Amino acid sequence: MTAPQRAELARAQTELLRALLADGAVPEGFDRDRVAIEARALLNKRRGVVRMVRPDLADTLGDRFRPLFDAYSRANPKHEDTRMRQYAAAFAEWLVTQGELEPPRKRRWWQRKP
Amino acid sequence: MATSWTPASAGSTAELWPEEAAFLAGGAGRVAEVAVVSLVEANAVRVSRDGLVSPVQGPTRQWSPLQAFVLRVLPRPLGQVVNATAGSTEAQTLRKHLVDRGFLVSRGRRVAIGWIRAVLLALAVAAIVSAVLPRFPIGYSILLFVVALIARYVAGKFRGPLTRQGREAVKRLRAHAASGDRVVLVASYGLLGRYNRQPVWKYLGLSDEAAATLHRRARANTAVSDASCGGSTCGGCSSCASNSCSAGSTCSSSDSGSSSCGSGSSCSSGSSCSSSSSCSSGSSCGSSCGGGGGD
Amino acid sequence: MDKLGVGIGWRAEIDLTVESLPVDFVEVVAENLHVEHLPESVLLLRERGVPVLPHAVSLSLGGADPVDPARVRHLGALAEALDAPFVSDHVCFVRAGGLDSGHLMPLPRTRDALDVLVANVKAAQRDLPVPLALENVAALLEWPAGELTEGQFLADLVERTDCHLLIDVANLYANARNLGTDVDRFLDEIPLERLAYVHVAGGVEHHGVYHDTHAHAVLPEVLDVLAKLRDRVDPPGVLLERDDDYPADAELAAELAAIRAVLAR
Repeated sequence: MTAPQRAELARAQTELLRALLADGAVPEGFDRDRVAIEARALLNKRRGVVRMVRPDLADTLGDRFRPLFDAYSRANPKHEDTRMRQYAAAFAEWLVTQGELEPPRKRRWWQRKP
Repeated sequence: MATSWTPASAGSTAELWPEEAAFLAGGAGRVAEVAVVSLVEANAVRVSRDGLVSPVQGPTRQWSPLQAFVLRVLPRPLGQVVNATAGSTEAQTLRKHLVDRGFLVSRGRRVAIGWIRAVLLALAVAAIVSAVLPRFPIGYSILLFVVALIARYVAGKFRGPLTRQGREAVKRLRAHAASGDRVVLVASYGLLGRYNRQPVWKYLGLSDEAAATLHRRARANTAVSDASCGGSTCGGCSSCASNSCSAGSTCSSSDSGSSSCGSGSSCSSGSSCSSSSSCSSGSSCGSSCGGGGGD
Repeated sequence: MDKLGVGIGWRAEIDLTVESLPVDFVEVVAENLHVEHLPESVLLLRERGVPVLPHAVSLSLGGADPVDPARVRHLGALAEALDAPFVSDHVCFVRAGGLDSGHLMPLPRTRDALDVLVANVKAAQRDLPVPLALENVAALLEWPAGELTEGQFLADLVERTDCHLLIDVANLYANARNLGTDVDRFLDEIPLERLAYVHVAGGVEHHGVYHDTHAHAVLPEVLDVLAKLRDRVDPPGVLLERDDDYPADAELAAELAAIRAVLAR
């Protein structure tokens, strides 16, 4: 019943989210400054949640946490099926592949849980 | 009841302030607990039912370096905050400070005493061996054996982390615990210790779940600070250098976000997904805010 | 609508504070709770007879995709577990094209977008055991080619779905400040008789843009918007939302008192 409306809405909303989350082009008719402000707001919110979920990453990276997360997040916007914890874990893995983080050491049987 | 000691007061040798006395009484883990509890008492942090420690927004005040550290790593579960604080460089600095002022035995001296005791033990063993040697007077063997063991016993007296001055400071602290000052209570016995046949955490009104986060730390960590000290003056001091205590730089706040990570599907899992720091500060805010709630 | 009074958003970090504050009802973020493991604090409030209203943030009712039945089921199950008189979500979209914005995004105010929203809301209502209230969101940006004002958009939505309204006066203030929404006109256009309750929240202005942070004190200007609403209707309930940088208990109590004072005018 609403199929044509849904298709058009999907296109428009996806275009906007790409601009906001993944450095996509600003869709026609939108105020560029406002899109930039909203993009920053969304990024800050995501970063805050990741910092909450994985304070260890923030601890280890210190001042590098922010620029690294921002770079990761723009290149890898969160997918709707990804939970925030998974997203944070994927960020941690990305940090390892980028050489920004030591790979986690395996815990031996005699070692305590952290 | 308030917690009015300040870092500036750390000068005198006669009186030790709760953080320093706590370190003497229970090591880095204990002093970390005192830092958190003193912030609770000062209304600067709150602890939720499930043990999440979060900062209370308010005017900036002067905090001790350890308290400042705690505030930087929040929000986190109580046990994690204590672990991180115990492993912080701030806690190490406090330890050095106490060594310099003659309350704690330096690590070098403790290692030296350890060596001396090992040598004396070897001497005692040598005495036994010498007893079976032909033509070695057995009297000397016995004398050497006894003297070596007595010397080892005496050296053992100096093995503890506390100097006499340190032990006296802990005694004074414990004497003050009866006053009902909650911070002094924690400094004296630790959150998991007992006072009036009740766990100290219960006395403070912490929930079972909050205390449970501590139990986990206790096993990992307190062995160093608390457990070793069954006795009267025990001293922790060894600190949790070893374990995971993720000290480090910590979250510098600036970032923002806010709000119930609610929106989106995001944290559909966790309970506490909210929080994170403020956007009160500078630039970053721009936005952060937006994150806010909207809801 | 039953009278709710003045309430506060229950959050895990401030559970003990919420229990100690003089509040008539609370709201929980639906996505943060498990029906099987409700927080002790929430159960305690229920035992005291305090209404607990589930507030969802992830249905994405204005999104192009049909609503996710699992999310609706969770919300409904929560309403039943908490014996809530109704539930709520937002007039917004959260997801599109597989991406998750992590926030409540404004909708294009076109008739086509409204058609999709109405279809989604009706689908959700079919699966919910209690009535649904929908909330206006704060936007930092405006879609081009809007055909309706925000008030008209909400009024049409109510007319076509029979939903209730949850009016956030801080969001209304934000849109007035950032997008030029006319507060009086908005309040005149929406069907206030369908008002379930009202949200009040704090925010901050940054570089000329008002941010609805829920992490700052409530501005007097926001209370002025509440007063304008109060001039038109006595709202069944008003709820203070604070999601971060929680202040001292006394400060939250003072904000609740300020809300009560506006309502008593």
